[in-house]
Amino acid sequence: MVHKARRTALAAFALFELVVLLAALTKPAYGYVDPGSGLLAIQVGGSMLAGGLFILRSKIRKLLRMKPPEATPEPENNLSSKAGE
Amino acid sequence: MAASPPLATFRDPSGSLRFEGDRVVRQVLADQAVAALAFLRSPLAQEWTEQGKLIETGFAGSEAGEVTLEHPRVFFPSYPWEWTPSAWVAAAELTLDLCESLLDRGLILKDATPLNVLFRGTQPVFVDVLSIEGRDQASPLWLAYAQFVRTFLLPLLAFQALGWPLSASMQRRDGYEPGDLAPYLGRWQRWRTPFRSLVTMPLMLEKNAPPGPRKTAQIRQDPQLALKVLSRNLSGLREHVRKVGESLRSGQGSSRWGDYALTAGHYSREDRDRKVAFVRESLKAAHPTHVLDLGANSGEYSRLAAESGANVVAWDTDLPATEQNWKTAQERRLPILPLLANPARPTPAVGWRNRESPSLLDRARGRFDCVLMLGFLHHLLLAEQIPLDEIAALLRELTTRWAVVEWVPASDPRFKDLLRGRDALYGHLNETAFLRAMDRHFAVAAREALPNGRVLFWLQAR
Repeated sequence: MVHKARRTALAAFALFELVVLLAALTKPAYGYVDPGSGLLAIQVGGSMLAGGLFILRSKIRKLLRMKPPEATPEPENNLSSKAGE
Repeated sequence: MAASPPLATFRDPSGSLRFEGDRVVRQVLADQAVAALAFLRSPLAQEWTEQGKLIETGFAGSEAGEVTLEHPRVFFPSYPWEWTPSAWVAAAELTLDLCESLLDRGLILKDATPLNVLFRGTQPVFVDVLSIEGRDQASPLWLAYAQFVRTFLLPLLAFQALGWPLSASMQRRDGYEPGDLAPYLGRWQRWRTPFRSLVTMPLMLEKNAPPGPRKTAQIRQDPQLALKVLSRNLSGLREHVRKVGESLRSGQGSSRWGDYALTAGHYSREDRDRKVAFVRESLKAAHPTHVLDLGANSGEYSRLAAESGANVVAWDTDLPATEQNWKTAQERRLPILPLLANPARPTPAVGWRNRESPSLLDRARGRFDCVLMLGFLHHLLLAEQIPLDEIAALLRELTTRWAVVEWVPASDPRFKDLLRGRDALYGHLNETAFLRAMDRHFAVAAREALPNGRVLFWLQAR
C-alpha cells in the first residue's frame, strides 16, 4: 500500500510539473525579474504539493487503519494548507 | 604598501564582527538578535560547539542594548574560491544539518551561503552565529532556500556538469541565477534532475511572472504540517548535495600532478626514502606548530608535517591532487587544510573596497613557523618566471622561523622540461645562486644531496 501511495505522489508531482510547463508556454517572457523569484515560486509550489500529499497520506492511513511509521502524531483532517499572497 | 585592514562586517544590520589582534569581537544589537543570543546559550549550541561544527562563543559584556560576543580566531580563514569541491559539499551539508536541527526548536537560518563557513583542517565550522533566527511556525518556506541554491548548489552543479571552476565564486558573491546556467545546458539535460527543478522550471516561472513589483509569496499551514514540509524541502536540497558528493567520490578527474608522488620517475626508491627521512628529521628537530606546504600536490609531505604534530595548510593549483589531499586528510582525520591556491598568483583581497575578504598572503603572513617548498621552486623559477631573490623574500615573509626547501638543479629532467629552450636565461642557475639568494634571509641548518642531483635544505630564518 505504501508503494501505491508513493506512486500516487509521483503521478501528482508529474501532473504539477506538466501544469507549470503548460502555464509557462502560454505567456510572454519579460526581461527583468527579481533574483530568486523563480526559485521561491518552485519552493512555494513544492511546499503546497508536499502539504497536500502529507494530508492525503494521513487520510489514506486513517482509511486503511494503518499506524503512522514514527511516534510523532500525523496531521489530522483539520489541517489546512492554503496559499495566499 | 601595507594592506588596508579588513572592514568590520556590515552586511547583517543586527551585528558586526571585527578583528582586534587575535581577538574576534562581535557587537550585537540585542533586540534584533534575541533568538540567536538565546540559541547560543542552549544545550544544542553547546553540543555543536563541542563537536567543532559551530564556532565557540563567549559573552563578553552588554551595554546600552548591545551585547559583545567573542570568538576564537580560526587559524587560517579560507574562502569558497579556494576550496576543493569536497570542501564545498562539506560546507553545504553542515549548513543543512544546522538548519534542520534548528527547526524543532522554532528556529531557522536566515541566510545560507558558503561565506558563513570556515574550515579547521577538513572540519567545516559554522561561524555566522547571527544567521540563526526565530521561525514563522506556520510557514513551510525557508527564505534562504533560493540563496542556498544560488550560492551552493548551482556553483557545484555548474562545476560538475559544465566544468565551470568553483574559483569563479570570487566574482559571484551571490552565486549563479538559474538563467546563468540555462543557455549552457543540453536539450535533455535541462529536463533531467537536478536541473529541471533548480534551473529550467524556476526560469520559466521567472519569465512568466508579470512585470512590476512583486508581492511576497506566502503559504500558511498548520505548524505541525509546516514543520514536516519544511523538513522535506531541506531533504530535497540535501539529496542534491548528496548526489554531487557521491559523484565526486566516484569521479576520476584527470590530473597533471595527482599521481606525481607515486609515479615520479625521476625519483628512485632510495631518493624518495632519503627525502622523506630528511623532511621528517627536519620537522622533528624544528617541531613547528603551523606548517604551510607550498606546491603540496596530493599531500605526502603535508601528512608528514601533520603526523609530527603540526597544523597544516596545503596550497596547490592542481584540483584533482588537492582533492586527493583533502579526501586523505578527511579519512585519516589529519589537521590539514588543502586549498587551491597559487603563491605566484595569490588570491587578491575581495569585496567592498577590497576590504571584506583579505588576500591570501595577508592571511598567511606571520602565521606559520615552518614552510615546506618541496619540488616546487623550479616551477616558480621557470614556469612563473619569478627571480630567486623574490622567491627567497616571499619564503621569508611566509615563515616566522623554519623552511624546508628542495633545490632542483638545471640537469634535472623536470628542470629541463620547464626550461623549454630558455637555457641562456636560466641554465646557469645552480646551487650557489640559490644559496646566495637565500643567504639574505636564512641560514642553512642542514643540507642533503640526493643521488638524483636534487638537494634538500633545512633553513632557519635570520
